[in-house]
Amino acid sequence: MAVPARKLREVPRQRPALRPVHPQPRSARRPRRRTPFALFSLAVVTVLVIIIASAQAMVAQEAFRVADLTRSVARLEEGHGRLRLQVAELTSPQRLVRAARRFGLVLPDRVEILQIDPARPGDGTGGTGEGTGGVPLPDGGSGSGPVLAQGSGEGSEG
Amino acid sequence: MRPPAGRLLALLAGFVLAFLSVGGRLVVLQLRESEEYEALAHDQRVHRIELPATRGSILDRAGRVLALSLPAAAVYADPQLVRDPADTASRLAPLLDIPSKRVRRSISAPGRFVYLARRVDLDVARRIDRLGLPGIGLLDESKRHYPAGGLGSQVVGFVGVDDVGLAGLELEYDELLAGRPGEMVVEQDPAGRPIPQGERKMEPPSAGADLVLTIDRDLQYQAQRALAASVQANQAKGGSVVIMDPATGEILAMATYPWFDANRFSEAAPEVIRNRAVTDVYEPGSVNKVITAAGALEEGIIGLREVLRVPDHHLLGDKVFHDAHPHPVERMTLADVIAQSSNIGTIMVADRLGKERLDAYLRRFGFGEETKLRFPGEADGILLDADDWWVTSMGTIPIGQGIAVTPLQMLSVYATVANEGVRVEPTLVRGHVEPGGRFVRSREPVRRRVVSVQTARILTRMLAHAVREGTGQAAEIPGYWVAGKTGTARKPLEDALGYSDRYVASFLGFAPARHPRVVVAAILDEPVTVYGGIAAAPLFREVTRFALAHLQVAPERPPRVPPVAERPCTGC
Repeated sequence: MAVPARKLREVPRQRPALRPVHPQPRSARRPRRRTPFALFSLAVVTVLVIIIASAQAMVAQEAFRVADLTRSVARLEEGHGRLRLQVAELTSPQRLVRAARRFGLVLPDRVEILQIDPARPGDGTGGTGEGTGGVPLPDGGSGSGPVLAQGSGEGSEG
Repeated sequence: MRPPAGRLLALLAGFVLAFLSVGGRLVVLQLRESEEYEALAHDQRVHRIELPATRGSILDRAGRVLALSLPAAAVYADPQLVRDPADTASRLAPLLDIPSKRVRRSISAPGRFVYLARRVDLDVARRIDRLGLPGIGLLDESKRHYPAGGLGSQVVGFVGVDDVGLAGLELEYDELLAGRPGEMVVEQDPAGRPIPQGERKMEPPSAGADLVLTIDRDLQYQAQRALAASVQANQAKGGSVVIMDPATGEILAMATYPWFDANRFSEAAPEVIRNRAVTDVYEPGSVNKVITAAGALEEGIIGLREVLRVPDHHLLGDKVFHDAHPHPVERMTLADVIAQSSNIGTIMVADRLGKERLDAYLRRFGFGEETKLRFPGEADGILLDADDWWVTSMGTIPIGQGIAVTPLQMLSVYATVANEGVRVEPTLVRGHVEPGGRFVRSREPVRRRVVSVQTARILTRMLAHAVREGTGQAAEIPGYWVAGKTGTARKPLEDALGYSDRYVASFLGFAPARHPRVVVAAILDEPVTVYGGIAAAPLFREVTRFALAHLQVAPERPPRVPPVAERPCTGC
């Protein structure tokens, strides 16, 4: 909806009268104190430079330390591998047999199977090695016969 | 003399020209050639270093090391940078254990790169580095060690100088073992030290997984020791021993004689490197009779108590087949046929079975195809289609001639019988250990029923009888009941047109017969004493006896004796 324009009434403004401003004499100005600011700035810059330089030095130091540690880890891993290899070589059957022979040990010609009297449960007098206990004799029977113990296969003979 | 003003002007002009030329060069450097020089400087400072992945170890079933990689170095030379070849060679030669002349020849050769030595121990490499010889450099690499030397060398295999698997499981599982190399991008000063806060990117290498085998190192050693002794005692050309757990299909030992030291594989002859138990085929002979018997029992074409009248020879086509020894017509049950390893009795049974069914059973037991062991070069054997059989094939194939199988395929047959008729795919790998330490088990082997439980049990009794009373008596182990079968097979001629007078003696069986823990194949190639019952059965006994003791297997009751005929037959 259109609003009819109203004519605004002009109100005359009251402006202050202009007057000349005279410059103050140079000597009358307050002197500017630059020295503290300069000192402050210098201190800030110095501190920042020191901090940045220190940080750089620390980073550099740490980088060298990381490199040293990396080398150290590599050396330790290599040492660990060497030890694993050494263990594998020392425990290899060939080496154990050679060592056993030096001590006069031989493999037994046959496995000794010793009979345990079932009437005396727990009597393991015959067993020289791992007793197998409770195993029926291989006689084709019902399994109620005497039980066997098996001599340990390894190194039971001198 | 020119006036000072003129000289000044000339000097000024000179300065201007000089500055203009310097400025011009600067402009050219900064605007036109800046990228080129920037790249050049970047290349000088920034280095891409490949970080080799550590190859995984190969372990036996108890985690004992069979193969292991250690860091090493390659020593190389840039001949154009070597200042004093004579001095350099004399200082390097003792460290590398190479004749000085050879080193000098290498470092005097044309070109910019030559290897002086590969896979040098790091201690030696550090000493070379400390010498600071111009033109001599080091490269990171690794060296494969096989601490057990020749133990299972044909199974484990070996790697080449570039750490790539060349044979055996090293080849088959190369991708898993090798891992993935990483890369480091680093800015270095001229001395090779990293520049702090310089460019640095690192993609760490992914180490290879450790492969855990089913092989038992102690059993493997004993198998090899017994095999070597048996080959020498029988003056055989070679031999194989394989030990398997029938319930799981896990191979506990796999030995082939002669073997080689994997640390010095380059010195070994190619035929020694092959794992003959898997890659080579042979005609199995009488050990194959168990399949004929299995088919006959499964199909119900012969009763257990049925007595056959078996002569010592039989005409088939134009060929006369004989038993091993001349004998009058004998009364034999199927158990007797197996126990006495009668060729003619087996041929008679096979005749009832028919070639189609015999062929079907041979294939059901795994003949004519690989065992899926995952071993490079595995042979699938030779088994013709039944339609292509000769007239005489029904005389040869039932007794294990005219077909060719690997020792592992034959062993799998006995493992099937031992496992109550269920065939389990053989396997050499239990799983692998990831770099993080997690053990990943190999996929379960495929199990397939071949014959019924009843048939398998009857066969077991027959095989136990063959050891107790038949041809396999030398395989008996005191305290245990062994089931097994002898095999004495003639070797075909090179042109495959007939047979030679050379033999393969074998014994395959399992123990204890009631609850088998191990199935063992003992095979000797061209022994002086050709009979499997004499040459191979003692080897089987030796290996099986140790295996049972090692696995702490208790003795058991024997299986019942299968029905047998009274012999000798009089008046039949």
